[in-house]
Parts: sequence; C-alpha cells; structure tokens
Amino acid sequence: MRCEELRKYLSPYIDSELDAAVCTAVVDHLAQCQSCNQRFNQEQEIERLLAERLRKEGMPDAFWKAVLAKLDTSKNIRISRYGIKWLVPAVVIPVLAIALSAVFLWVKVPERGLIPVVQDIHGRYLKEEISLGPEVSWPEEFKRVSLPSWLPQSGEVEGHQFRLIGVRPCDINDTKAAYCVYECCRIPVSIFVLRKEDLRSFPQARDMLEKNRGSVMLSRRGMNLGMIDLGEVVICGISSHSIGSFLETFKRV
Amino acid sequence: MASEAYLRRKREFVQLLSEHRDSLYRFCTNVIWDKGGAEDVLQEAILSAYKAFDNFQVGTDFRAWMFRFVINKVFNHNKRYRKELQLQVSSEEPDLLEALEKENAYSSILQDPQALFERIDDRVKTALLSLGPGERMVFLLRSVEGFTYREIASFLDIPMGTVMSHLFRSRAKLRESLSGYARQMGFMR
Ligand SMILES: [Zn+2]
Ligand SMILES: [Zn+2]
Repeated sequence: MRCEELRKYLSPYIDSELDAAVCTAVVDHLAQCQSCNQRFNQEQEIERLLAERLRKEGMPDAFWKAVLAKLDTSKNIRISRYGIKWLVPAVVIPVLAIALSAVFLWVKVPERGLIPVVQDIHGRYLKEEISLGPEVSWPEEFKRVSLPSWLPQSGEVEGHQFRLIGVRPCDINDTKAAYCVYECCRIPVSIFVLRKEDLRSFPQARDMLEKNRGSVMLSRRGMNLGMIDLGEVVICGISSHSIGSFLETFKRV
Repeated sequence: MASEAYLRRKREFVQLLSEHRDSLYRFCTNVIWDKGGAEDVLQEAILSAYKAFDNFQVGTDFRAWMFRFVINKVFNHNKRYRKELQLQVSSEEPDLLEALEKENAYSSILQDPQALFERIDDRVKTALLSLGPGERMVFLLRSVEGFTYREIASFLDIPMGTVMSHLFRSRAKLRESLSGYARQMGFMR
C-alpha cells in the first residue's frame, strides 16, 4: 500500500472502524513508514483536542431543574399491565369495590361526586390550566374553621420534603372548599379542605369515610387519593406522589 | 402499590437521564444554532422518552435509546437536516486532506496541535458551525459522543458509506478551518 492510498483510511483508522483486511494492510504500512505513522498520530491528537473542546459544555443546572419540573407535571410514564389496587383493609374491599367503582373513574360521571371533581381539578393544575400561589386565600365561609391558622407550610415526613405552594377558594359543585397545592419531592399534591357539614352534598364520600373510620386511601393508575376526617373539616388529597403519610401531618398538628 | 411502581420507574428514568445529561445537552446545542431551539428540542425529546420509558429495556444502552428521541426531534425541528444527510457525496470532490497537506499552516498545526488549541478559544465551535448540518451531526455522534458507524447509520437512517463520507468531509473541513485560524493568528513554527 502506498502512502497516498493510506491517507484515505485515516478517518476509519482514527475511529477504529477499519475492516479486518484493510486494517492489517494499514497496520503493516504504519509499522514500516515513519512519515505515515507520525501523521496518523498527529491527526489523532487533533481529533482528541477537537472532541475535548466540544465536550466542555454541560447541561446548566437551571435547565436540568426545568426538565425535572416538566417531568413532574407531564403525563405519567405509560405503565402497561396495571391492575387496580385498593389500599384499604382487606375486609372492606368487597363493600368498597362496589361503592368506588361508581365514583373512582377517570371518565366523567354524571353525578359529579367529590372524587371526579378532585381528579379533574388536579389534572387541570398539572396541565397548568389552573395557577396557584404564592397567595393564600381562604373562602369566606371558612371564617369559623381553625385549620387556616395551623395549615402546615413546609416540613418533612419520613424523609419527604414538602412545601405549600398556595391556597385559593374553589367550588365543588355548589360546595365551598379550599384548594391547596403542595409539592413533595417536587411532585404536586392537591389538597381540598371541606367543612365537615358540607359533606352532606357528597354522600358517597361520606359513607366511605364512615365505613373506614375516617380515613380512606386509594390508588389507581399511578394516582393516589386519600380522604381524612379531622372533625371540623375533611381533607381530600390527590397526587401521583404517595399521600398516606402526608395526610397524617394534618392530623398531628 | 401503583404509585410506588410509578415513582420507582420515574426515579430510574431521572437517574439514567442525569448520567447522560451533559452528553445530550451538548449534542443539541452543537447541532442546533440557537440555544432556545436546542433546549426546546431536548426538552421535547426527554418528555417523549419519558412517556415511552416503559419500552426501554433494562440493561440496554440508555444513552443510545435517548439519542434516537433527540435525533428524531432535531429532524422535526428542521427538515433540512434530514435532507442534507441523504445527499449523495460526489466522488469527484477534490481530496481536501491532500490539499491541506501542502499548506504550511497545517503542517505547523500538525507539529504542535496543543499550542494552537490553547489559543483558539471557542473558535472550534465556530468551525463546527461552518459544517453542513449532516456533517455536523455525524461528526458529533462519532468524535464527541463515540457512537459506532453502525449506530450512527441506524440513528440517522442512512447507509454506512454515507456516514463515512460525511465524517471524512467534516474532518477535512474542520482542519481547513483550523488552518485558517492558524494563518490569521500568524501561528507558524
Ligand atoms: Zn506511508
Ligand atoms: Zn416526597
């Protein structure tokens, strides 16, 4: 092989992509020819320096954070073969399964019970159709409710950092509620506060709470929903983040 | 529990992504001229990959899997990129490397490439931008990201021969730019 011919193989040589037959010929030539040998090494060095320069730039932290935030609010990973699992005591499953199949659906149900509305609002928050924060304003009707004064602002539950994003009044059908958004592990958590007496308008939810001694946790298709009875108010939370221990913090205060 | 499975998958995705974030970012910003466009493309690619993450097979190359999404979004962003990749390279084209060999400036670079690179700052990026988009993509995938010819051919949906000719031309053109800088700067030994 002659020197000029060899130069054609410079590129695949740099990339270690010469096929075996040519490779032997190239290697043989390089072993004998000082000038080609030197040239190949120099070219390889230039290539290394070029790549090194272009590898310098990395992803800025601000962009990475924006990506993480987008992932939190984007649709879930499609996970196939997903069964429905109820996180309630085994004994009550048959009873609940009937009650819940009617309400815990992703399609809109004509009755517009508490759970579908809560899902709908949370979904709209994720799609950025509803914006919230940093203001905290409670419905007029909540004047006599003590919860606003001790609403957890931020903290840690079992290693999870959470913080309050905002609160604003909302209507669930004709019932006044407070819509609070938290973030835990950067994942939005929607919390609805209702006065206990207003639960009359949501008989299914009320029955569910009564049958489960004031605490209901459901999980389906990557969404977790929980309800907890705090006496003067009932709290209903929904998130793709786990919600059980988070709702407990409202109890403890 | 459903949400735990989901959160575990999400953590896996974020973990894998974080290992390759720099690689993905620099590829996008080196391929697409304006930074805003490059970031949009990357963010779209990441979201698409995230939604499809259930199809990712554990144990296979996550970076290669991600690059397919990125390249697909790059093509959507600018149709010209795909077109230019498929252009047939004429075999009549004068051998750029051969021409370079006769230049003094280039032989000075060959003698001490490090010395030139210490002085040219960010002109490597300028040189890169003087390449056609096809040449640029192939060069970045090979020289900077280290993918094999076969992988590149499959990412870009072009024959291996086309990968090689784009690569050869991009290298020759980059060296030509380096030569130009060396001359401008009076870099002679
Ligand atoms: Zn030789
Ligand atoms: Zn958390």
